[in-house]
Amino acid sequence: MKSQILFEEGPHKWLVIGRDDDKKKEVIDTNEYVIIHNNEAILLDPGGIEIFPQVLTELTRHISTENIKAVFASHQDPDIASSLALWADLSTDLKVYCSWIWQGFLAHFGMGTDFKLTGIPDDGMAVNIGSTKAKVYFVPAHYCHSSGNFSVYDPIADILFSGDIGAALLPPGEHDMFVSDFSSHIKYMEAFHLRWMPSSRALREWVNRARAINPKMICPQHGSIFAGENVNKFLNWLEHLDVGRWNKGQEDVDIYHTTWMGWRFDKSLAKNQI
Amino acid sequence: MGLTITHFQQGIAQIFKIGIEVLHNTRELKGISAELKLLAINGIVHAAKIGNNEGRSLITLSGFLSELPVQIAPDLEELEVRPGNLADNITATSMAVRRLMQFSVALEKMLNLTFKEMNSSFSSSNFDLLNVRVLEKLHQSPALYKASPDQIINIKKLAERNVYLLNIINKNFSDIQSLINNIRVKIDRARRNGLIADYMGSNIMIESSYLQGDKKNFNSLVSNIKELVGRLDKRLFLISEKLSVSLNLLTKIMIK
Repeated sequence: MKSQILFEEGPHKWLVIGRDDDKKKEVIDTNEYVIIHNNEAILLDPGGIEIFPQVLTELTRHISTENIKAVFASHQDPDIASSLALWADLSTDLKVYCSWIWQGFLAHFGMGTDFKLTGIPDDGMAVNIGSTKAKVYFVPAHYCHSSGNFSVYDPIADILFSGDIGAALLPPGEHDMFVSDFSSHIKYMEAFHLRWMPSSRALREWVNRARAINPKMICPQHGSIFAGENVNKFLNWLEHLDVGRWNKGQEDVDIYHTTWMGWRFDKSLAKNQI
Repeated sequence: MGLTITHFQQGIAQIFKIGIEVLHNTRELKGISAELKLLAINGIVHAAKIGNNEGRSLITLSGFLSELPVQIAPDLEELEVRPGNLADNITATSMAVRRLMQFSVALEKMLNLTFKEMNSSFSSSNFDLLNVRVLEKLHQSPALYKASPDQIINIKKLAERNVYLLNIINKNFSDIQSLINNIRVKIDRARRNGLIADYMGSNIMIESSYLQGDKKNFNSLVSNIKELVGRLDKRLFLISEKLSVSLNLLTKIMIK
């Protein structure tokens, strides 16, 4: 696993941790982000329990564990937050932020630890990084892909952490943290967005919010980071995407979805199965 | 170290599986106990029907027999609860082991990274990271003399975490051990009472052999009692065997 500094100015710093060569093949690759201000940190999507040792080791190259003051979970998935209990073990006053709709669900990752979960209201909220004056903003990204989903905007670094929006499933060995050629990167993002994003409307609303923010960088939880002109290229591409599709987009063949896997439901057949 | 923790995890998983089997088995004990009581009451009723002095000894014996399930009941009730406690405890231990596994790997990686940055020839394999004494003094190790204060703080914090987890695991192991021993005491007592019931059944058989007309009733009653006691004993023996296996496993994986 490697870490890279994305932004550093005075006491303010952004780190990305990712590209874990040691992880098991079946574990999806993730990017973990850390915002450090005056030596206090907030961890964005800390990752799954399987990669916790690698993330922690890489993180401690930059900050002491006791200075991790908060954790943000963009949504409820295990690759985002199943390590929560271990982070809470390291810091007794760790604050955990997630959509209010997932509070009771994330508590299931507790493994006997009671962590302080703060539910983010649907319209978002601003929080300080630890005891510092630096603020980050939780921006609504509902249904992109989870029904309670947030992005994070940091005005000091002008970086937008987008969670699964912009995620790409990169082939093994693809180690570049930044998108270099947008058009050739599309093939790694497209299938993910068509299947994992349920609502084109929600995606477009998020694009509008992102445009209003106009960040210098958009950082997804999987894949590569968009910077410079790729930010707009990405937003333009996203805006015209027709998502929420499965069956390779061939759902029109049977609009009522009464058939799956080539067979039709016949309730009378159930009797033969008893 | 990884192997040792995996060994823990596998041991705990096996003990957990046994604990659940014990739980299933103990749930059926109460039913057997209730059936035994019904049979004993039947015995009293049959004996009372005889109507002369011949029936008196049978009433007494059936009376004793009907008391046995009452005596066994608290043990059986406890036997139903204890494996539940055992499952709780094993689950907590399993979670602690899983945590220890992740934190130990992190500590190992952190040490190796620190040594690499120090250009040191030391590595994490030079330390027994599952030994509480080693962990407690790890941050003071001369091998880390070039490490930065932040690196020392991080290593110390993780080592402290692992000491805490090792202590929890050890305490849980010893709690599990005493729980298992406690269950075995109850099982032995219940088995002993089962043997007494069996003996009573034999006595009822002998006493009823002098009877003319009612002999058949008592024969079938006693064979039912014996069948039931046999079932109870078989189940208790099975539980006892499973507990022996888990005790052995526990002894093997306990941290020295």
